[in-house]
Amino acid sequence: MQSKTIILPESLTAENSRVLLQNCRKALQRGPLLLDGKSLKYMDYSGDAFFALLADTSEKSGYKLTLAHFNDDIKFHLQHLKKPKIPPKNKVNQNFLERLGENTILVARSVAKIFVLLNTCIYWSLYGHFDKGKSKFGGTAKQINRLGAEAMGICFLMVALICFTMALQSSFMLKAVGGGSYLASGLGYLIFAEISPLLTTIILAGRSGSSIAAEIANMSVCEEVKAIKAMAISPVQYLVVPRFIAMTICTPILSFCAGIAGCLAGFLIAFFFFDISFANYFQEIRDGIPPILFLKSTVKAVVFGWLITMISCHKGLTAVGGADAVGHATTSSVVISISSIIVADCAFSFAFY
Amino acid sequence: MDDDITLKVEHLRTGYKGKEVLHDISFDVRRGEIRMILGSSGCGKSTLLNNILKLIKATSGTITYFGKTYSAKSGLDYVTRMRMGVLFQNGALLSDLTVAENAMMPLIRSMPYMPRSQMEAIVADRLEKVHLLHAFHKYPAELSGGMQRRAALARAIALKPELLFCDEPSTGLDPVTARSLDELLLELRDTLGVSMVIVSHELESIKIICDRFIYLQDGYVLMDGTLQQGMESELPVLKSFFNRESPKEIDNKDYYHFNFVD
Repeated sequence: MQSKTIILPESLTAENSRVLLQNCRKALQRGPLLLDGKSLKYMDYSGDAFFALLADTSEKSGYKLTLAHFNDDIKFHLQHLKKPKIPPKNKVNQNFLERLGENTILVARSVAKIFVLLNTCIYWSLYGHFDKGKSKFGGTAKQINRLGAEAMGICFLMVALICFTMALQSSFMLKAVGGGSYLASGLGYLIFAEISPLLTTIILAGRSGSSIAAEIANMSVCEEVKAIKAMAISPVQYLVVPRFIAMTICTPILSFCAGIAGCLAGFLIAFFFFDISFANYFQEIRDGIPPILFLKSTVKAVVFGWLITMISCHKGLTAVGGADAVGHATTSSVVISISSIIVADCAFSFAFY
Repeated sequence: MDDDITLKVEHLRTGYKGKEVLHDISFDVRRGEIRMILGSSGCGKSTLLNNILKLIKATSGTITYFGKTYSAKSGLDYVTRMRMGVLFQNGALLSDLTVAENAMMPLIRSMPYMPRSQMEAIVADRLEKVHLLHAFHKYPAELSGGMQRRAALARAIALKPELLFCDEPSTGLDPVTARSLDELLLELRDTLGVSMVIVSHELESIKIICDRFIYLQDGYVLMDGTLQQGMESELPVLKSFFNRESPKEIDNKDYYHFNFVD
């Protein structure tokens, strides 16, 4: 078969090599190719790749590639052109069941680790604070301020607005059936049983949980956690326990206070739509809520607070890599915390009500 | 065991996800000696250091610290850990604590009921040793890279350790700061009599501070010897390492063979 001849231009650059390469490769796939380089004087960085790809195409198609009339410099350069050894990508072919199994094991391991972390936290919170032989690290007050006090404004505002909207929407229906007097007791029950613990902790998961995960993940990535371990200090004792205690204290208080803020917002509707006085409104709330409900609400808030702390701390402590690991730990801690709070809330609804 | 030996690593193996990355590593560190772990990037130096510090668990082998032997899987007890100091790459100072509070951490851990004023006096002495007393109340973010390393060094020597581990102490520092850090390490060795295990690939530092070294390649100990022996070695890898040359590999199969005609 006769060779096709392509004459190369005076310079082979990134701009003109793309189309030329396509033509040469097409020609090489059909038959032998002769590249005439008598005018070629200059090649930029793309020249190496141009000839390397043509050599590969020639090897694959089995048609001969001949280079004619190249000057000595370019000839010398091409004679020393190295074959790049790109390592093969480690592709693990897993079917659906294998992936499902692997992910299930990962989730089960994480859940087990979170329970171990909770156990260790309870141990250090109780034992560490009473044993005189153990070193104590402060930071709980600082964490109460950062995780709880600073989140007060957003929690109260959100719960109040949602309760206001809820009261407004239910007021139309209650007015239609003449049940305006039930607004206070119904709203109060709903707020303390469900709205305030759930909403407060969801806001805390987004605000304080993400802050915990990001801070600890950054410490893990920057070897600070390793440094703590190297000083024979338990990272759980130093990093997790102050946050655990802070969240245990703050979550029920925030939840209760947010509930009060929600009731106050509901009062605006009761006052303007049903002409209920402040004293009557709160009297109806008091009558409508059994005292045990406050205990149930507190337990829910504490458990939700623990979920946020444990998940965020676990995600932070297990972060490996660079800046992306911090971002991933933060995002996943918020998503998992909120999901697990909602799942736990369902479980509590079955158990408590 | 010889009293002169502070650390002895024997037949240490470790791996990730079923793949062995360190193979049968053995070496020892004598009292007051600066022992370096050398090798190119990614050869397993930091992994070896983390194994020795028991921050990650090895697969098999034993490590003897101050005459007490630990198996690969066992953790390190508190008393032994307190006799060691660690200087991490980039310092790893806790960013929400001041330099003094960072250096105080090991003291709080080991002597929880020591009055704070006494701790401050000890920390001031350590910061003086690393020429950083003026940064006593500063936060890590207010310090330069070299100062952060020195602050981390003050923390590492807070309890006057017998064995100091440093992970690439002078990497990323300018030559003057790197040189002053090297001199500081030598000064600490001479004044405190501390043994050191230093991971590095900074040739200038190695030439100044190294007593003996092990050279790691692909997770194996390629050479264990003195600096002089290393520099005189005929092994191509060591020759290129100490002479800063890139290894030459000539293999005709690696080149394209074009058909040239005139």
